[in-house]
Amino acid sequence: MSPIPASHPPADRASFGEILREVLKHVVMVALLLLFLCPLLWLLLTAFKPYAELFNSPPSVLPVNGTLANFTEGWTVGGGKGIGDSLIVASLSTAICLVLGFPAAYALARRFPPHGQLSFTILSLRMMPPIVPVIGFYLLFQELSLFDTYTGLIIIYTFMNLPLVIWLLSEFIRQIPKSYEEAARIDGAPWYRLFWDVLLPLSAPGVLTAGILSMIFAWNEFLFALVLTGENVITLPKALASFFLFQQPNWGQLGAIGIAAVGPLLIISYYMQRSLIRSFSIELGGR
Amino acid sequence: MASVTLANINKWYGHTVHAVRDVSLTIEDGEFFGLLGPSGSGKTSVLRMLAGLESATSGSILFDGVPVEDKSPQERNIAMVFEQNALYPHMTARQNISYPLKIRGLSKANIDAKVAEVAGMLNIAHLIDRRASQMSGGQQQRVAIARALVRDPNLLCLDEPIAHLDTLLRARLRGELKRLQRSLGTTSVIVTHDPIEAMTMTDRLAVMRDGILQQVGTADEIHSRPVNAFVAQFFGLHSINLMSIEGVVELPRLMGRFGGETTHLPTALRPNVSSDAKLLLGCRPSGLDVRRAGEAKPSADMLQVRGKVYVSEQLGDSLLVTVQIGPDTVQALIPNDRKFGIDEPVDVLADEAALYVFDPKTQGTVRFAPRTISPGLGNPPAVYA
Repeated sequence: MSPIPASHPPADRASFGEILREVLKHVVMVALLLLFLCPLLWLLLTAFKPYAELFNSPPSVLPVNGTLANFTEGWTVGGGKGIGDSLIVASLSTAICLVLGFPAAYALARRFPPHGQLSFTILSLRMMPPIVPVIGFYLLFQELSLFDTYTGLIIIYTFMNLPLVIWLLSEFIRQIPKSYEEAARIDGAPWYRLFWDVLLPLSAPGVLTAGILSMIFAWNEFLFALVLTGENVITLPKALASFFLFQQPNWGQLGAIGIAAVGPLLIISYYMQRSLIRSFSIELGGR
Repeated sequence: MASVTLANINKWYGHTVHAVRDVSLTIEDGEFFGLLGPSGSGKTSVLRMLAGLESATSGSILFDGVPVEDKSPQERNIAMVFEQNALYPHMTARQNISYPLKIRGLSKANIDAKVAEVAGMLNIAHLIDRRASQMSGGQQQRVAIARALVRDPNLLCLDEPIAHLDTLLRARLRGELKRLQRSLGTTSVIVTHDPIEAMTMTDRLAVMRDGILQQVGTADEIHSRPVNAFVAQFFGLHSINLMSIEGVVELPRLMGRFGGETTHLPTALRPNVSSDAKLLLGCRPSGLDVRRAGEAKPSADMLQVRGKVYVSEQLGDSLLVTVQIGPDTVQALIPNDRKFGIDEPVDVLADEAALYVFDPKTQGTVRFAPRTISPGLGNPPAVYA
């Protein structure tokens, strides 16, 4: 028998049962992935096909005469306006959410017990189905001349996302040891420097997560946009829906705009997944 | 630099927790003062009130005779070193140290000079561009101390600054902190639960328990003349042995029962026997001797009681023997030229000069031991920790 090198202990040989389990696990994973990815993939392929090719029989999976026309045309028939409006509404409402939410979250984290009534009440605002208040908002917006304005939609998205932002940030701030703040007070930092120099840098991952989630929710929101805006403000989900109004939609353009709608989210989620997971499992250890 | 006076300080948390009860004490200018007590004794609350992080429920705090209750930590010009999580994790050591100066709006050249000076003083110049996560616990605390000292504070508050470090490093930083404080002359208050830290570093110290100030004095005073059984037990390298002796009679030699065992008592204790024939004795482990059973004859100026060895522990230059006497145990620190087996029957002896007497009801000290250490019996206490 040859001696075993000390640095390489012999690997346990996997038993047949273990191998089978691994294989089954992967089969299930791949099947699920296909199920979820298929529509996305189809969307992507459709976006590059000329209109006529969409109705080939039997259907071609890959584009035969690949084209970018859907993207340029999609931009002009509403995609461009949709992207622009969605960007305006989502980013401004997110900014307001963070500016208002951070101080509120700080107060909630430091002055109120965790998982208390107040914390629950705030979060419960987010749990309400949006269909409940939408008619009320419609009437209110008509009265206040907010109907079909950027301001109106920004207010609505702030209302929609603020509870989540407050809740997420307060859970995050709760994890920051108080001694940092006390050290800053001892060092003589006035409240705004305490906030700017110490609290904000320490809670940056939480702020980033809350911001991204708020952005995504506003970007995807359809119901409020549909009911509370008209010709003037047309966000991306509404622009997409408008394809289905009078005639057979141009599926190619729809695919192109759909990719514009989904793409940024996919890219952000991919790069942010670690930070997102960390914020949700809230753990400051190891920094 | 300042002298600090606390007058009748009380601290309530809510309506139920009376954390600090009527504490009054004076800390002299330039003094290194210790607040010692077990957890929950209120020592940290006192420090936080001194620093201005918390306000007293009642009473007044004076810096150089001027009330400071309404003043912020900055206005009091306090510096503080926290137990842990003290450094801003997103800043380098240099940024941490210069932060209080930046807040005060000092010029960059001025800041750099001061940071370099204090970094040299604490031997952290080579760490100056590292973040907290790239430093060891001891290095982090050094940087925290540097940040505290960089602005010449009136009062330096140390909240268990070295409690989280390992033993060797703790011993080293103890010495360093003491030297540093001496050379700077900054009035300093350290909170600690470790009697060794309090003894070795401070000029004077206060022992607290349940929010009540027990005793204020130098380490030597508190060690040799503790006001009550608690202070005697809490303060010292090894906890003092408390021996509750019952049924004391004189026939004609003074005798009683400890742990159910017949105990010979020194005649000198006769005046201290309480009306219900009880004696609460205290004896430091260094004042006890252990002999094989029957080796020593009872004498009129010695305490002597039979027990059996529970365990004996080598401490290098001495032996710590735990002896079981009925349900009670006592510990003796003796020269390590003797060996005892587990459960070996032994006699425990103590010279009357090593015995404290406490009131069995109030626990207050009735009689101080004429000598803390009995030469020839135990070793002089050496610092192990």
